[in-house]
Amino acid sequence: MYDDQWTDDELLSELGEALRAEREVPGALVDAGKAIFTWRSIDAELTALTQAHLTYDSFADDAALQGEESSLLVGVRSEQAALRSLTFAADDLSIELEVTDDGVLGQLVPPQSATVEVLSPDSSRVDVPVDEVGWFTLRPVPTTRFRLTCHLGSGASVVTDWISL
Amino acid sequence: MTTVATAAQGGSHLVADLVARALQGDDRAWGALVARYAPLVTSVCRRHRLDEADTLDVAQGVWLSLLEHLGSIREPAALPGWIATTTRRECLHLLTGKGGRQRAELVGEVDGATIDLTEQLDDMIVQAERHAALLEALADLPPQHQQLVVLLIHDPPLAYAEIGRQLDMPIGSIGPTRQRCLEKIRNHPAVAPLLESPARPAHR
Repeated sequence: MYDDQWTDDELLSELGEALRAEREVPGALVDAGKAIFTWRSIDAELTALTQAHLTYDSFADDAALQGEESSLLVGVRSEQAALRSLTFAADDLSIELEVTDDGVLGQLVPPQSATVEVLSPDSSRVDVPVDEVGWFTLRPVPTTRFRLTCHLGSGASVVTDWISL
Repeated sequence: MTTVATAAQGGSHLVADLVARALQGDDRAWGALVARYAPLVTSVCRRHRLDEADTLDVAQGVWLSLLEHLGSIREPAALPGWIATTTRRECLHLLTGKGGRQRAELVGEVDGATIDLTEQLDDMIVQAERHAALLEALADLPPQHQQLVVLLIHDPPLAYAEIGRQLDMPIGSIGPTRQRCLEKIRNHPAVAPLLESPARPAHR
């Protein structure tokens, strides 16, 4: 039907489908996509920093343990386990995160004071207070994906992969 | 059936131009890329039965990946396939990750549906490219002709008398104008390659 030629009616009906598919796109999806363009400048800035990659995710750990037969148990377990733990590691610094219902608890390892920043895809940057032993809290739990940058007393800066909770 | 490769060829010049301009910092070119592939991202998310909030989350990951990979796109015709597989990967990641915890019933479905999803992905790519080509051709018509086409495909169908009234157009000229519009769309450089391609089975 789509090769060689379309009849007028087929062509009009295809155009109708194309317009319908376009209307089904949530408006926020396109707007957010356009807004992400500003991320380019931040991205360029981040490439100079040390990257901290995800080395542990309690969810991934669970998923690895979960066989086909136990997949129905996943929902049950989730209701009991409120916490998710994540670790991001670079050579000289690890960032450990624990997700709770009302926030994300963070710990820099080795413990040290630093400046921590939450970067969002819309290019907003929020400073997070860090205590002298490297504790910090993100509250509430971020609803969109984010990256953390840590500017250490030594002058070094570390940035995590994207984090999606 | 039109193959994925054929479907993407018609739009590849436009896409190559948009990519090049976006790389130079042109935010309107980037916006056009986002708008072009948004229906494909949405349809892949729909196929994975994601709700709107999850669809937005997945799309955000896709746009960020696209932005990061913009400089390494060598073959614009391969971009729709890249968008579709990236979207699918983000969907599966979300369903088996955070969402999977709360929606165990979907995890089983994802496992079982993985195989025919690959075939459906090809179909979705071909369809999305076809739609993008048609919308591109439609957008190149004069505004009044665009309105005419939109009214001609109105659901429920509108009588010519009603269309003539809305566009302030004599009823007698609607048929011939419709004909001219459809010919222009058929001959549009984005659409014509889809019509000329010989019938052959979709390749994998």
